[in-house]
Amino acid sequence: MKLDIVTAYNKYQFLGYEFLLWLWYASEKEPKAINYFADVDRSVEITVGNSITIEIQGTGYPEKVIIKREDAGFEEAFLFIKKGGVIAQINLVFKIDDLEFCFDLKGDDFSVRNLRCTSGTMPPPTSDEIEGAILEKWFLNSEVFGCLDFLYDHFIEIRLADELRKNLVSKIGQRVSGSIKD
Amino acid sequence: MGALSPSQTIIRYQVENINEAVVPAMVLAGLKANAMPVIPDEYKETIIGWVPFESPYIPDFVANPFLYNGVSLFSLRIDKKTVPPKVLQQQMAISFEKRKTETGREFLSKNEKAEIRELLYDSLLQKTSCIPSVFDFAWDHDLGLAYFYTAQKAAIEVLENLFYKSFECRLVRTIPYTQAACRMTEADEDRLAALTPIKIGD
Repeated sequence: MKLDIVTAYNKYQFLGYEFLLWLWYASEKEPKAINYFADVDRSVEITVGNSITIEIQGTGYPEKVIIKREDAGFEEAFLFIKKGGVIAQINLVFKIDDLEFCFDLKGDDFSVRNLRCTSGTMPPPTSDEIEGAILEKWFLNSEVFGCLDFLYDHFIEIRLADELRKNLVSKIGQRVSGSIKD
Repeated sequence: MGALSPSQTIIRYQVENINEAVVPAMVLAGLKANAMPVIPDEYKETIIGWVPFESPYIPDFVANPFLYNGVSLFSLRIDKKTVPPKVLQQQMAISFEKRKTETGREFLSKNEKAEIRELLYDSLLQKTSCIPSVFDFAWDHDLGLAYFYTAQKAAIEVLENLFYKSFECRLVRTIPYTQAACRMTEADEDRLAALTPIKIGD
């Protein structure tokens, strides 16, 4: 990698924000495009969960607005995006076969927060069960990150091909404009 | 928030080996050399070191495993001591009055006050207990991937420095740019670097 980590973080945060916006759009409008397991016999469903955090850059410190799903299905979020806001964090739900995961993904640094496997809770392991519990947790984490990595690779492919700018930006823009109530 | 917590915070790294392939013996040597001291220095405000995942308060890597089927799992412990400012202020007020009475003076010089303050601070620091914070770290040697189970900035900085010191491997944080660049050719990375933000509606 040619860039130092500080420059890479500061200058290219927008890639993470755009990824979250694309993910939101694709999960609603083009779910087949983001089917992680399209070529194997597994089912996957990716949806936006219960909150979106919008960051509005301006003079001084950026303003953050957290929008919950109860607020008219995120319609308010579109207003802020239209004004130049970016999706700084998004709550996602991944359903992979029988497993369901819920977590918050931050756009600027791809940190995953509040990651839970909501399809079943395990009791705390005893000392004999620790190794099994560790390996099982590692497997569950790998399922989530494998899916995220696939989605991001796909997004970068579109982005580098300029397909996002040519085709999707106008579609996303229409989705944003179409949701603004008079 | 740890490796087995029902709710986790995770930041990811790629591990770059600088010198040689990572083997468990090398990891064990690094852990032992930089383990949390059994008897901590009483005069230090912050003490850092590696501890076993299954036994974070007894840093014995011989008795406790760290390798689980090709994944190393251990923890970073940061012990911090803080002298409460109000306690220091109280002790200083008492000491100043005592010194004035002993010397028969009405005022103490700035240097004298600073000297008393430093002595009191060291004495109180020695008596204060450490507050430990434990952060789990998992490392897949074969894939060169690692997870750190916290997003606290101070802990991240400590981790990255101690990791390099212990294993002579560099941790490269998985952020949007590095995640994209790691799979690219040089030509593609140039195209990536040339990207600029897009505006919705363009």
